[in-house]
Amino acid sequence: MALINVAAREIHGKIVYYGPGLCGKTTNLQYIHGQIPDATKGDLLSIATETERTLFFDFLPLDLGKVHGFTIRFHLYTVPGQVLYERTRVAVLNGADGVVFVADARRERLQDNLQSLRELAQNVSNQGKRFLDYPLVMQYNKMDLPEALPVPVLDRYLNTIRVPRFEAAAVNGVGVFETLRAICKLVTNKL
Amino acid sequence: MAVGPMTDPRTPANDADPDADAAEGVSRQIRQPSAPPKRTGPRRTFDPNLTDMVIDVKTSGEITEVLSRLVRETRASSGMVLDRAGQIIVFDGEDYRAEMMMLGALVAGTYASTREMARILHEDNFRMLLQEGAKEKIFTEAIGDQWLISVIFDRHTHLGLVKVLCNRATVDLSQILDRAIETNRNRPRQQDIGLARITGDTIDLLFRKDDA
Repeated sequence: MALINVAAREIHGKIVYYGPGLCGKTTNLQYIHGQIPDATKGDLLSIATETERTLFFDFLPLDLGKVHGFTIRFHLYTVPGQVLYERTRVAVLNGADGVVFVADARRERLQDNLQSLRELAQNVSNQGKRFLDYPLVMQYNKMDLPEALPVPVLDRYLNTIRVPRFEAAAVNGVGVFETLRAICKLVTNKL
Repeated sequence: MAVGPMTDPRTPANDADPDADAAEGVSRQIRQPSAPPKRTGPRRTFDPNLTDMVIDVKTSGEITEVLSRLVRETRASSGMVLDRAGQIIVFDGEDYRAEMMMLGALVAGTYASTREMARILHEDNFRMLLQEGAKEKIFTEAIGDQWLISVIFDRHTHLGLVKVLCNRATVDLSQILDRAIETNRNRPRQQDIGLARITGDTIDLLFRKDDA
């Protein structure tokens, strides 16, 4: 839940980047961390394996400045994408105000995307929330690769619930901030 | 490459992967979720309707009072009350460093992780966590289903004392936070609409350069 702390004059929101392994969740956070001014961000915390695969989560606190004297602060998290870490994803998803589903647009990853999306829907439902009402933005990542499926195909299979979606090549920063802006706005609209 | 939201989903293309046809059933399930699945784990009383929560000055003051007393009586170096998403509501201690925000995220993540462990072991919950280092220790306890309290202390403080006093504090904090939840349910929504709109405008302004 978004938290409005009147005494501390702060509004907190938690956003989770969800998706199958190696889809680019951490890359999104790394790009954001590399681009925004130091005053706006904290350190990027990554709990990863020796091979730099996410083990628990990545965490990036982001201050968006003040509105009416309130500091708007978003906490960005990623989940570990590997199938093995399903229960860890449930733990990180706890208390999230919004989710960015990062899909790997390559043809051979379509089934993995679907499996991950279905798991997300299940986990949101298990928290007692309606998935269809949940603040969700979809990002089709790796669209710069030749193996990427066309957007209409991705739409057909991944975005049947018609949430805002963005094409991206996170490694080059394409679509990263557009996605972030969309999910931030969805979350604040729920305030 | 065109980037941006496309609000008019187009007609499905004909070049879909054959595997994808099988997968379409999956997406239908997402589109039309059935009744919530039967769970074998512990019952969760988290209120899903709390999409946002306001901690007012009075509540913050009451929490601070309980937390300060706990920190003082245990002679801990610091303590914090945070929500299960890892957001610190009240901090009390020697100094508030930027790393505390990360500590909050890690404490909440670790606690959520142990709750999943409990579920696997068919336990209702593991309500307490202890991290013990050569110099510092962190003791964390759940307050109801939505909040946590963490106390950071050193070898001069006895763990048993922290456990007992922390347990007492969670009873007081639980009452304070339950009242806050009830107040939050009844608060007028009108004022928040303006806040959400202005916040949205600020986000637009902040990220405007990326539209170019």
